[in-house]
Amino acid sequence: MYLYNLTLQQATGIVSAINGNFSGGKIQEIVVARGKILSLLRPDELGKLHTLHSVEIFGCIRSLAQFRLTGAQKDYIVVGSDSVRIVILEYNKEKNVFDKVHQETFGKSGCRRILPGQYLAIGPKGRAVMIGACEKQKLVYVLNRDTAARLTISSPLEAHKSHQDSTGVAAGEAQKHLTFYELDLGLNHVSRKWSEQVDNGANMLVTVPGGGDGPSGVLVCAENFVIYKNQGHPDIRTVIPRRADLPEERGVLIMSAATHKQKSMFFFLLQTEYGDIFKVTLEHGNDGVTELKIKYFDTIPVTASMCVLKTGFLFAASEFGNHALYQFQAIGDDPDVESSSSTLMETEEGFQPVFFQPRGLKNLVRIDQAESLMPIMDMKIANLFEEETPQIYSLCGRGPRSSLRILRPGLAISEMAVSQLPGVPSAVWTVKKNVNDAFDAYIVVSFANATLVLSIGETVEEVSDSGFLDTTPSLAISLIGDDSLMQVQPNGIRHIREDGRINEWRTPGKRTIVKVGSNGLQVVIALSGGELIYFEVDMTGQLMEVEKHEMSGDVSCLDIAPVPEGRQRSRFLAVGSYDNTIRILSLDPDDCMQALSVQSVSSPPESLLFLEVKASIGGEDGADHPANLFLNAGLQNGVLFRTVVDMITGQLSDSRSRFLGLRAPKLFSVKVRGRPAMLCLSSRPWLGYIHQGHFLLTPLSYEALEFAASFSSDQCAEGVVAVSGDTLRVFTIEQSDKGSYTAEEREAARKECFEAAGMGENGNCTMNQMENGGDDEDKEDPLSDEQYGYPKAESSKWVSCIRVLDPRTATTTCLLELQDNEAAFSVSVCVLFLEDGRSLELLHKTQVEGVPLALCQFQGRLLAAIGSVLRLYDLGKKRLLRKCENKLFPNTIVSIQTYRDRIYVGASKRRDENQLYIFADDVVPRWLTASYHIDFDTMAGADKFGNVYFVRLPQDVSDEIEEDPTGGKIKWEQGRLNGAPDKVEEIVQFHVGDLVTSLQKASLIPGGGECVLYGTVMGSLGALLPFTSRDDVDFFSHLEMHMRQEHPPLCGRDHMAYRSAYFPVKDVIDGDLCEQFPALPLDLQRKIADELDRTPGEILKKLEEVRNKII
Amino acid sequence: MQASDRFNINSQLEHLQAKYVGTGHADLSRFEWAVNIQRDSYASYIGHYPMLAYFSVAENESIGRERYNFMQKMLLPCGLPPEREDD
Repeated sequence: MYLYNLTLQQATGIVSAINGNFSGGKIQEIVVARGKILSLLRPDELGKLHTLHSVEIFGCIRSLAQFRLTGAQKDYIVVGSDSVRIVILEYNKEKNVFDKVHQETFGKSGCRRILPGQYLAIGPKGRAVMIGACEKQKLVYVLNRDTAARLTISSPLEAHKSHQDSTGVAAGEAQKHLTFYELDLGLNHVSRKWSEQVDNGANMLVTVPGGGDGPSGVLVCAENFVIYKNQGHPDIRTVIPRRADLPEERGVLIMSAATHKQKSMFFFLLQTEYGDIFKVTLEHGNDGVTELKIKYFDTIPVTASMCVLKTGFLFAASEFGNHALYQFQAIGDDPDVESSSSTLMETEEGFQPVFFQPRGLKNLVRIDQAESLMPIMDMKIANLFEEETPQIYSLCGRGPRSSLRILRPGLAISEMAVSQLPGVPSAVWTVKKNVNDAFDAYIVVSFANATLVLSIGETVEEVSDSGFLDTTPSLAISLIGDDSLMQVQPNGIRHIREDGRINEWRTPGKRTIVKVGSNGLQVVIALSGGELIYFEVDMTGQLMEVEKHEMSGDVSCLDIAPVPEGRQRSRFLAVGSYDNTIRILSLDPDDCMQALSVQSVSSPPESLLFLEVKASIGGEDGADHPANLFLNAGLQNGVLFRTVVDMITGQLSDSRSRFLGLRAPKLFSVKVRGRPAMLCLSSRPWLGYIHQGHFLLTPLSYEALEFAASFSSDQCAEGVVAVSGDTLRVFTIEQSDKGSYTAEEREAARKECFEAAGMGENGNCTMNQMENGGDDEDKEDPLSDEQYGYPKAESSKWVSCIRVLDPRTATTTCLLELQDNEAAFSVSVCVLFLEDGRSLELLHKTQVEGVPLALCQFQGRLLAAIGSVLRLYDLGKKRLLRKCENKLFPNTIVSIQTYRDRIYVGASKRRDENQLYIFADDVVPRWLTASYHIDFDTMAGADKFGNVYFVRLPQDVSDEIEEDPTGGKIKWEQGRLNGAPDKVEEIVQFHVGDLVTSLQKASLIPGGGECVLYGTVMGSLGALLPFTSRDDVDFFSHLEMHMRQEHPPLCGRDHMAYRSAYFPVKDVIDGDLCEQFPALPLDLQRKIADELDRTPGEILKKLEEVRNKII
Repeated sequence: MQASDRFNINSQLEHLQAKYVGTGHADLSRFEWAVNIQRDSYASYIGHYPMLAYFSVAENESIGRERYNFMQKMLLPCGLPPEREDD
């Protein structure tokens, strides 16, 4: 079995965030590391966060820092990762990529304790960077620039200090030290300038600005204290204020810090592990710092990193749950609880803390948030809403910020208006009054026997003076020429000039117009019977009949290509007929109505659309690609057929088709971020657009629509107006301004949040979640727990509940709170326990001797794993009755799955299969975090180091055990290698690089193949798709091989080594790497394609095909 | 092999052990071995953020606190060393 790994949604949690001017100039930007992904965010003036660029680096980012050379306008990014290379990146604004400026190797790879990468520090003037390890090693690189003002980097200078301690005597009395290092540029040497003992609880350092800006030195954040230290300066110590309800034995630790520096002043914001932010200020004069003040500022959810932007925003990258952007309302000048070094009181019990109560936000106001699914604790894929595609139900977040989120594949949209119409409309158009107008003037809605005209202004209202005929249905409404309007109705064309004059053209005889195609300068109509009549707008703005052409049969659809820039007319007319063909006809005067090419399709085309893609040379569009013209056809069998039209000859080539839904797709041209895109309305809406040089077709998270048109007004620059049933809807597509939301994060989209701080169970989906600590007695507290967190309790206390949710109404149908320090660890849908499907009733409790971590139904009985014992229970009147058990597991069992008469058991260190006689097990010990039963002989599992693997029972063993009347009993008694007599084989091995918490086999599209989906702690979703043909395996393994050679990962980690971090990768092809192919420069693309004996276009098509099989 | 060579190899080994913390040698005691393994594990947990997050969910602590705890535990991961028997 070969698998294709594809990330459906990139990780949403944040490891570290830095801010600076990465694209140069004055724009404030944020670079965030999301585990293995590096992205660049930019908040706009209104405070909305946009993702400009996001790239997977196939490595594990541990630290980030930014620096700027003196006098430069632009910040560079230093990345500390597991690649054991120091990597300096620069954001390239033109190409919208991170460019690697320097990459210096300093060791062998890995995330190990003496390999630098965990810590980064930048010299005050950006002259040097120090990269440190958890233990011992520190390297200093000198940064400079050459004559061409390019950044240069020196060879590393060592600043290690060795402290071998084999006796442990020194460890017992170990003392943390604060050391200042000095880089002597003249001697090219790093010296330990000054070293002094600090508090043993110290965990973080914050630089205090020096030189002309401040007193220099550092703030040492330690448990309960903040200490100011500098060489030759006495320590200034202040105790951190404590929450009044905090138990005495708990310390207060600073988690993240941000510095704000202006010309005249500076201050620090420090956040504690409980979420409280403190503002720290220093009183300083000529004789150094005299006072250190810590003042309560505000409380926000605990962050991994905070960034204070010069534009008055605070970016808070939450540890768990959504990230937020806050705006400063004040900088905490008002009096509040304050602790100061000058009033520090030392008593016999130590320093006396100051107490405070958290309050509502006073200095900050939240203006935007970025969704984060981190951590996905469990996930189930089910189609509870009976939609076309299944939904993903995931339990995200933890504690008070946990939620059940329903994820659907698709782009997010935001609905702006929904209004009822008097009847059921058949079509809708928007039209401008003049080509140069920025906004549309009218919305025209056609009904079965009437046309309604709405004018767009401050409000949208019906008008009758527009010149449109309202007593007949319309077939098309558009702007024609520069400033006149055209209404095509079954009996003729009505041409409304700017001055109000109306020209009518009537159809000959009793024939009616059935189809219309137009592009603003050219109009083609199809009459019943199959006659085409071609009109053009002449110099005076008149609509003139040019040519007639008789087709062999009725025309099913028409479209004219858009007029190329600087031309009078477009050359191509596409005509779809009921004989399953699409013809391209010429509109040139010299060969007018000559057929240029014919394409036969699988079913009659219903709708046609030309999509023109302008040439691009990179920039924020993504990769560079040449101009192209695509012809798209929606066929009656629900397939979207797409082909490339040669811009000169009109020949069709490179056709692709994709099934979109049960209805024939209707195609409409819209604009998304100023670029042409295509809306396809089938049984659900889809958007086709170009992203980073390749075409993507993505569903929208919206209901089925009948007809749509682009919409632009001063409230909404790029909207869509659509009809559905008897309603008119206006919405915008949120996507594309979030670059990454388009291609990689399709999955995100719509969510519904429930407060599910417990266990959810619904029909066939079971979810559970644990919550440790937290006494929820203070329900009267006016402050939301979401913002402030639960009060901390002793670590042995539990609060837990079981909740049954109805996802349709987002309501809890049953809530069972567990009493007396009980916690629910596992839940199983056992027919025995369910009452009427909507609520649960406690039947009885059975005391067991350990924590049951896994429960499962097995042949009408209950299998329970209690510690390392597997036991089968039957339901009794008062309690469960023990039937049989197996005590032979070496470690705690964390999961059980059953299929027919086999039981699949996941133990936290070993994975076994069991028939109450263990008959096969795995040879590798593992810390299992998730497992899923794939088929009778195969299991998928994931361990806590981020590996996913499949194991399979050898065929002969499987057959043998099925035939054995004793079910393996005799064999078991013989045993082998202290375990089961037979061993399973590992058939697939892959390092995801993120801790997988849930696995499930599902098919995400109707008729698509099944794949294994996984959710991770960092909030990403991925899929493993089995290949069905050997050719595909060959193709993708070669593509992967070339990509590894030609496009090594950004942060210097070897791709193969990364995917084999714990076990050698086996039979998995990394789709994430392959999908970076379109982002390569064109010549490199061609080079790889040549090696594979294909064209770059064919490779893109292959990539698209395999993606379409998953989603 | 001459005596001077052996001395040479030994001194080279010693040099390597001083340079690369955690490298084992022939006379490694059970305790030292365990300490190295534990320290390596903690360093790996600290370096791999998803793992840190996983532990912090289980222990209901913030990720930063978890990192601090692991870092503190690196000092004496297996407690004080056993008394040496001089024989």
